Amino acid sequence: MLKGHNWLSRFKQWMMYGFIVLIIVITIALFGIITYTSDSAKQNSRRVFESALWNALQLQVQTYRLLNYLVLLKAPDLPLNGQAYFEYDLLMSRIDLLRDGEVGSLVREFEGGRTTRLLNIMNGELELLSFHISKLEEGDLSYLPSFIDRIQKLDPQLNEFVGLVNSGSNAFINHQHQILQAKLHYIQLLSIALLLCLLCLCFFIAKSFSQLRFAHERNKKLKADMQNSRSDKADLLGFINQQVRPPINAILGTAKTLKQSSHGVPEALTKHIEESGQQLLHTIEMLSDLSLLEAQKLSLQSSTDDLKTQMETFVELTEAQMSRKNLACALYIDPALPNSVHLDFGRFKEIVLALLQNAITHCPAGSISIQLRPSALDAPTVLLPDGTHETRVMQLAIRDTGLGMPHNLQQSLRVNPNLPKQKDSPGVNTVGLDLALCHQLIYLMKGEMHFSCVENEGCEFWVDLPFYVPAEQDPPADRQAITQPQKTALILEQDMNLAKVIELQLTSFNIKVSLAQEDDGHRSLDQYDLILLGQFPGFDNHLEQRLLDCVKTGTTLWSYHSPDLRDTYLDSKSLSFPITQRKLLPLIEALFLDQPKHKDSK
Amino acid sequence: MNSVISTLLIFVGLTSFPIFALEQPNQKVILTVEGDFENTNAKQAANFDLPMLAALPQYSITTKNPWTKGVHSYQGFSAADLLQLLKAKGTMLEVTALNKYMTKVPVEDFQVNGAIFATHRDGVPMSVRNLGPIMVIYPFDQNLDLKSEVYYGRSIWQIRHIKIAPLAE
Repeated sequence: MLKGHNWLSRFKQWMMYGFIVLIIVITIALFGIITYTSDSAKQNSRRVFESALWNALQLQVQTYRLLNYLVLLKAPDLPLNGQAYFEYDLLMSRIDLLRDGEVGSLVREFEGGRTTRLLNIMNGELELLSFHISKLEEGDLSYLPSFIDRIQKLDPQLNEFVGLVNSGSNAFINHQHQILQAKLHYIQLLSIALLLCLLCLCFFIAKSFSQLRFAHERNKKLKADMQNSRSDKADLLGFINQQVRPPINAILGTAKTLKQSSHGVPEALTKHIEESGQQLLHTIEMLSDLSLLEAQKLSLQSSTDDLKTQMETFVELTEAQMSRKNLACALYIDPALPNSVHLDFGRFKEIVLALLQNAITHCPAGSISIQLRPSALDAPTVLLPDGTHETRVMQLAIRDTGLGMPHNLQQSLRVNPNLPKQKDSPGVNTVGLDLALCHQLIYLMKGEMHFSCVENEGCEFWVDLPFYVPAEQDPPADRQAITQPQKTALILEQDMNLAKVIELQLTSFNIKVSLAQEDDGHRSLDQYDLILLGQFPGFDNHLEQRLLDCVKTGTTLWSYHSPDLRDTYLDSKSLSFPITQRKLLPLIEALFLDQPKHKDSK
Repeated sequence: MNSVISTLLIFVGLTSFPIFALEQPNQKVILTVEGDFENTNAKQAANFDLPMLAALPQYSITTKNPWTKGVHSYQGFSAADLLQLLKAKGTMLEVTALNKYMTKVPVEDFQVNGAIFATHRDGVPMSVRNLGPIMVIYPFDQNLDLKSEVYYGRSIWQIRHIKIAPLAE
């Protein structure tokens, strides 16, 4: 049935195209005929016809004038002084006009060429009479009678010629008239056909408009139905969220109690129950948000809070997952960002967690480095909420050293709902729940998402999100309050992404950092106040000995890959992932502020 | 008494030969212009021979026309220069041919449409048989709008006489 409708619709479409083509063809033909008919050159056929008749009559008149002149010519008129030649030339010019040019071409066709023959006879005779003219001009009037006689003998040919030209001209003009009538008839027929086609086209257009209006109304109704359905789905998920939350919270509470009690329940088990419960709650919240987004009922709940603290808390939520995969992680928050910001932190958390979850999924080993910094994008023009004084944009950059996302996932993610031709956001079935929600939330918050992936080298996401700056800013956090003289540090790490983030963290504490991917065995290590030992392939007994030597001279040694140092004599402070500025702050304070530095005195 | 009579006769003789502003033609007169103008060489008229007409600024038109075969180069003078020479004012010329056929040609045709009074065809003075001695010709090939009955009708040949119609009040 549907196929039948499709066929009919296509037939109608082709019919419409056919009509349009037909109208264009008829219009072109119509204008062509009108132009051809109205062409001035063609119109001149009337003038040619009239000229032929006029010149034929002028020939007759001029002949009689010459004859009259000759009859009246007497001896006292001599010498003639060229007058006879003048009269003769006037006559001959008429002969020439009837033989040459357009008139000549027309006259040649009259009566099967009889007119041409007559003209030739008259022309020949008159050319012969030029001898008589010369004699008359010389004053010899003896040639005059024969001259008059021969001119008179031309009279029958002359009369026949004028008659033939007259009848030929009439036939010619009649023929022209018939041609014109035929063209007018064609114009009439084409005009009627054009009118009919236009009427048909108008009918089809009217019908199409009616169908379009019907389709528009149906579409509107379907949209409303779909919106209602989405709204119902959002309500249902909200209800599920409401119903499921208390029992899950109870389970989480039980797990916490068991963990603290001495019932001998393994800690790993309680931790697993806790983690799973949290994950379940997070999934339900995401589903609820996604359905609210689809129903266009999600409204952002902005609040003012400490950005840096919140961000570090969000990252620390993934600590257990990263730890299980033995992933290194460091977070750098640019001090240029304000401490206190006005933002929907709940949705921001969902975005951060979704991107981190994606990075963890595609990263079997290696590191995840995170940066939160001011964006280069201009802030969108929006109405400022109460208590805020400006809008800025921050950029969240998350880089992993994993396998890279599959190509189809990347393709699905490369959809920008802000572009007019790509209205749909990536679906849950193509990019997963985390990224689908993350993508929609970013654009709802008037942000942008970009990413780059290299196979077996990892991915990097850049998310630009606008936020509001509160009118009254909290006093600066204590983490950047360190004002000690500049110290030096060395980071021994093969993963440069991770090392660079840690470098940024230390630099924010006024520490000058050097990076080393490999040890050449000659670097003087005791020049540094602090050495951070990461995953370093060149770690051997020689380096261990050199490190021991410099620790003895007062250099502090930290490490975040403690398994490497398990069988050594090195005494180092072990850092846990994710490495954040909040974690580093008390350590640095203890190291450089509480204890007067003996390195300075060296 | 005789001397008085002789003086009177000389005075009458002198006053009976009018003095004209325009030179007299030395060869056969081929064109006579009549009308209300200052520079004449005859009574209320100006007669021209071929050298006098050739002394006017010359223009040329190369075109086809319906009365002859092929393309020809016509050379001649403009009515605007003729009127200037005669110090005549007029907008319409009544042009008469040797066979007394007459047509009216606006002076505007010479100023705007580039028409000329041709006296030579392909560098040779036009004979009566070749539609001379003077013919009005338009640049038909250069301006296709001129290929109409109006301008073909104004293209008069074998011209002998021009009358400058007075300006309309």
